[in-house]
Amino acid sequence: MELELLTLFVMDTIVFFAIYLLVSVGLNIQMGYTGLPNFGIVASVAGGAYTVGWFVGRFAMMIYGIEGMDFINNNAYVVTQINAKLANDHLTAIMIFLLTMGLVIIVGMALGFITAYPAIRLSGDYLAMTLIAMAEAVRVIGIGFSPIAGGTLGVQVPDPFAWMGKMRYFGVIILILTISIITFLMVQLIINSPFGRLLRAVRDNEVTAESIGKNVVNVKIKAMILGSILASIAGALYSFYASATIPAAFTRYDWTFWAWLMMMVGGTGNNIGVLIGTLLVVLMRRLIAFYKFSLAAFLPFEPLWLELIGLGLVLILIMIFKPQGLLAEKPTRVRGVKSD
Amino acid sequence: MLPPILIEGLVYANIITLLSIGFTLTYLTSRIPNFAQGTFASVGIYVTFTVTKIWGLNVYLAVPVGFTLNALIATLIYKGILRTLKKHGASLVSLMISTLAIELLILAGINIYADIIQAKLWIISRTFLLKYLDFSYVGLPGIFIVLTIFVLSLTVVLYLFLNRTKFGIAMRAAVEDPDLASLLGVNVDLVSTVSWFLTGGLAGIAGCLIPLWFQSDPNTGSMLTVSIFASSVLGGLSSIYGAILGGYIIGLTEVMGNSVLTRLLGGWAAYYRLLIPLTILCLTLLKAPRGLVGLIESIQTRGYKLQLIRRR
Amino acid sequence: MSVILEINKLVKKFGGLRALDGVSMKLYDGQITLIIGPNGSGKTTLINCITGLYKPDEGRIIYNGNDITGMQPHEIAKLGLVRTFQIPMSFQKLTVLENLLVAYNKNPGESLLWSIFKGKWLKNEKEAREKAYKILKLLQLDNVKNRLAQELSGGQMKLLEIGRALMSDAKTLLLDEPAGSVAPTLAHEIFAHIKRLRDELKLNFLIVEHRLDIAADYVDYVYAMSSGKVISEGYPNEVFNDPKVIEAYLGG
Repeated sequence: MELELLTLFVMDTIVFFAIYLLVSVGLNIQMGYTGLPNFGIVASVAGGAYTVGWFVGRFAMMIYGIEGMDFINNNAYVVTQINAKLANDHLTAIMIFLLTMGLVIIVGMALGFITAYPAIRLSGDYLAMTLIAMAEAVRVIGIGFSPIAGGTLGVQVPDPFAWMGKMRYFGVIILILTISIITFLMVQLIINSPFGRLLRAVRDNEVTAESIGKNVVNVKIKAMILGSILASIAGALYSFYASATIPAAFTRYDWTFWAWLMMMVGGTGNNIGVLIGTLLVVLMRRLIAFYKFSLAAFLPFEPLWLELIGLGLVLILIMIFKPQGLLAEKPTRVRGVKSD
Repeated sequence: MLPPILIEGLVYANIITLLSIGFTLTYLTSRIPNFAQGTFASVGIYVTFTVTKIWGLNVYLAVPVGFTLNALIATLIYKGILRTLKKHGASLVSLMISTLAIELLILAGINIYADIIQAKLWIISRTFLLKYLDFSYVGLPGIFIVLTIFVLSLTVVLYLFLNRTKFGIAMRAAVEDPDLASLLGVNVDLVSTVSWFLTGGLAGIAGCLIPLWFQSDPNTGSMLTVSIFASSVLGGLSSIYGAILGGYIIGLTEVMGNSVLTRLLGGWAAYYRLLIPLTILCLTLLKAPRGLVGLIESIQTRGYKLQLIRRR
Repeated sequence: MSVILEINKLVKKFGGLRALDGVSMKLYDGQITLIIGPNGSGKTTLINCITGLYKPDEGRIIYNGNDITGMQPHEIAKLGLVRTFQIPMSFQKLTVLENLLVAYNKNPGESLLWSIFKGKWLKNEKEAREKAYKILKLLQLDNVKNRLAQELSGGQMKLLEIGRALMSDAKTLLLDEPAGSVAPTLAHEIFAHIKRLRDELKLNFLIVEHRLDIAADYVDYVYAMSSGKVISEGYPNEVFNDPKVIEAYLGG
């Protein structure tokens, strides 16, 4: 590859790694550590993206006094106007970004709380089915109800980083990576503590946990909320990166199944493993994406289907040969205490 | 004469019922929720496409082909993948992930097939509707007649099979208590294999007939997954008859509910059609997890209790 | 001696079956009480009712002056009333040490919010470890403390059950067949441990056990149950020679 293409490839990998890391770690908290099979985590990812799509443009319209236009119907025009203003007003832009991310965290908490409801009452296959169904509902509503994020067409999102000018592409990716790493480190703080140990205990045996005084219901709610917040942040960052929110793009395939693969490859119950797993899988997928076009010339069908076959086969092989993943779960390394 | 919306509802309900019977059957015998059930139907869709558009035969000849092909695929999946996993002691979550992975594989296969046909044979394969190939009798569409007769006779056949044949009874034993059943000489593995065979076959038949009514593309089957969950869970995931009951309720509610809502609220309501089975699914799982059959059973036991109290 | 646990005319029905049919007991502070009875007499149901797994249909349970009838299991456990299970239920993928550390209930590190700030809970964590090490030594499990719980032998798992109950600052332990299906020598060891725990840590024990022959040497008071009722109570010798009890075991 020439240098330009190589740079593109590397930066692409970095941004998708950063975004997916949040989803797979969020999933690991819910499934790996607490044993809640969330096959509907795409709902939280979509939630974060919908929030960005819904809020940023309208809020900017309000601040800049753009009236007489509908954000959804005149989307392209409005966004162009806003971006022109944001390009010269980095303070407002950053404020908008921070405010939106705060809102995203609240939405993540709310979605986590809602999805915790079935997690408390059901388990195993019934829980998985309910969560898949809820995620489908989020998707159906997002695609059907255009005031949220443009429905079937989606919306463009004003760019709070327009002021970066030529450096926008690199700047945003570095920012997203930074946010992702900082969040990951915070999650590690939370997991490497008695709380992390408690999650694993609840996963291993709910009844015993109850009998020694643990409020298992609360623990499950907290796990779902924490995982959901991470996934929502990921969805929001993705929307900011792409400067658009397209509800139809948040499919089970892209945001639940691939995240599950990353978690399983890396090792459920081991966040470092999941980080490695995410990196490997994202790298693989970027490689496929980049070489897809050369393949398309030879194949009488869309190379995308090979990606599905690849994912399906790898999942099955992992289930048969290495269900625990690359790195095994380790006892909670509680910080500050020497383990002997 | 039957109102057209009822005909549409019954056709859809019959299809969902066939798929729910299969879903419930494999769930009961191997304890695995088959997330790929909807996609099994998609194979049938493309069998019909092949039989009619490529081989130029009568559409109803696709049915035995679809049955056989699908039954074989399902059996292979069970024997090759799922049974291997179970032998390795795979957890429920692992098995569920595997059915999701299988869904991806089948989806990819169908899409590749459709793509190749379109590229090499220049036939439009990614979306089609074969209603015009259907026959009509006393003003009713052929698919309606065929499906209704088929599902009704299937119910009777299944009843006889499960209650009057040795293998059927063995099947019920294996579902109720696999360990005890195997001690008594029932080949539990054979029971599972047969149930996957049947499930695939029924899905194949349903899939074969779908293009006679509905606009079909490679994703049509997968889009039925939620409705299949809903009807099986509503039925209670505990008996075939529950699946049939659930299938009819969900199928009719979905179609007629959609029609009512679009009439009341406008065309855009059609986007939200999936919310009907979704809501029923969530409500059932959260409020009455044993489904309708469970509710019926608890009413019966309450009836016994009342009888006992009255006798004192 | 004060009464630490009082059970008043407890009734628990499953459909038409009266698993507990008016059971009354009084447990005194510092006592090791034994409940015996054939299978199906209601012993485990009684423990489940006391610890909140089941809600009794009639009757009251009073622990330390608190009416705990119908409370949630984790609330009852927090009051100092902890149970073990007939079939040891430990946290399989946690180490033996972790199994004990989780049982320590005063660790603010277990809250999602405070878990980030090490300062808030480090002291408690260290205290928990000290206590865990002591218990491991007491139960002679310290050489397996870093093994996963699923790797333990049956007898070790039983001891772990008891150890876990000890960690949670329990004042009263309800043990459901602590020596069930282990070799007699190990069974004696387990009961000796229990007696020592009562002596050294001033704990109360309510034990459900089948092995009358082994348990007899270690307990202070015995209740005998059959078909959901208490058919006899008193000192071990009295109860074991009571003809009603012998008939229940032979006839049942």
